[in-house]
Amino acid sequence: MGERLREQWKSLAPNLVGVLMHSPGETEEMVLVCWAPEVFTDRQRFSQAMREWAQAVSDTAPTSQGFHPHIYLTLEEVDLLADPLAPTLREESILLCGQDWREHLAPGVPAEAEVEFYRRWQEMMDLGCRLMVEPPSVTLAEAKSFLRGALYLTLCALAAVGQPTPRGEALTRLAEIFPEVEAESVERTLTLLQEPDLGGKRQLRAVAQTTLRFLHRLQRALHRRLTAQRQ
Amino acid sequence: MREASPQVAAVVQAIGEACGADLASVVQFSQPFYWTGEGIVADAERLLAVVSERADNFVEVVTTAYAAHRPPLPTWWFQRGQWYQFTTTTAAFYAKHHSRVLYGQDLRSDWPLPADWRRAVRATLRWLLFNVRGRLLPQALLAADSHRWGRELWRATLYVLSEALFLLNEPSLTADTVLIDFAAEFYGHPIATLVQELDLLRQELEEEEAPPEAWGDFVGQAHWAFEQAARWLWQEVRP
Repeated sequence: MGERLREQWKSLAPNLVGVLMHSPGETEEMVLVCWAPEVFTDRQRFSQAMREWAQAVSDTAPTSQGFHPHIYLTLEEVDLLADPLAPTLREESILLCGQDWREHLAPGVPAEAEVEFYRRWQEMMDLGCRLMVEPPSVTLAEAKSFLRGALYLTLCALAAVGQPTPRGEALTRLAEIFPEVEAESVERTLTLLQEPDLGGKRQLRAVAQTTLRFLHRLQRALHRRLTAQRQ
Repeated sequence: MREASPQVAAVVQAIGEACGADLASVVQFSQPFYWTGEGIVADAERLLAVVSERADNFVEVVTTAYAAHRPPLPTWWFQRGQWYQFTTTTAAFYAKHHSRVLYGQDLRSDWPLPADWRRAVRATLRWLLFNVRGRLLPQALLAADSHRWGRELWRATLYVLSEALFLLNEPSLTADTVLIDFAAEFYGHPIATLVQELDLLRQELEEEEAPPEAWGDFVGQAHWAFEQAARWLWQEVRP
């Protein structure tokens, strides 16, 4: 898959700074495209570049899974990716083609991660409750999104208290920084992501409940910590 | 703010009865544009539910509500006393000022608004950029149904303008006034001119009842307008 993507992106090279792929071979692949700034100042070039990009995305999308999530930006917008993703992208992504622009990724302002935490938390409530009370109507993609969301919220919470952390170290760091939230209760959630059917819907129901409780504890712990920091 | 439909009012009442005193209040609100997870909708109704302060039963109360009746509209859940979550999003303005109470107490006077609108706009814009660029565009640029995607990108562009109005503390209440309000507040701004030109093209296509394929050029122009507006706003609000 990586090789095929690499070939596709090479054809777009004149308009690109570089393309990264996040978490290859794991639960979700995400492509991050950094465009040359001129693409966005010349209307004709913009139109052509975007059409070619959409074609490349379409050609490499596995039909059973739909499109890979894509993020695109220019170097001047790289702070869109700051907390909480920056450390993970810097350390865990691979360069598909072009220049390596990961050095431009810097953890940003912790308050941005706090905002991101609350936004995502509200979405997680809906998905988590649906998993608990109406599992047959929840799609596999939604269930995966819920489980991944737990990890993402963990990264947000760590970044919000000034401890941006790569994904691979998230649970260890969580136990150090927020011992009161019992990080081990979310470990089972993350293990399920390795299973093709996520362990079946019955198992998901119990995991959803545990995970929502964990996230609620995390939300309160985060607020307490931030309140103390600001006083 | 429209009246709640009898169906929505009935379901909210049933949820309240199932949760008892643990559910303090339910408010219905709408904002000009809202990303649903699938796309952008105009003037979509949402609920905001407030759960009692007892820390240990928050998840249980929300689950009880879902088990009784899944909320009939997308719903935010807050624990009373946790209004701080409110101070991070422009949607808080609409929940407070463009809403009606459907159940329980009216707590809206307690709700704070963001102290820093730039920060709240930044959060919406970041989310909008990721979703439009990452999810909508790969489909829109190659789709046969240009009419649908053209309208989708048009809404995305207006969504950016509606957020920009917060910078002047003059938010629009409904989708149909955003373009007029933006043109008035940002008179002569290149983005206002660009979007007004796009609106003329859109009206022409709508009035002529142009066939779906005639919207192909509009998709490209709407995409350009969206990017120009979003990139301008990001420069205005970036940290």
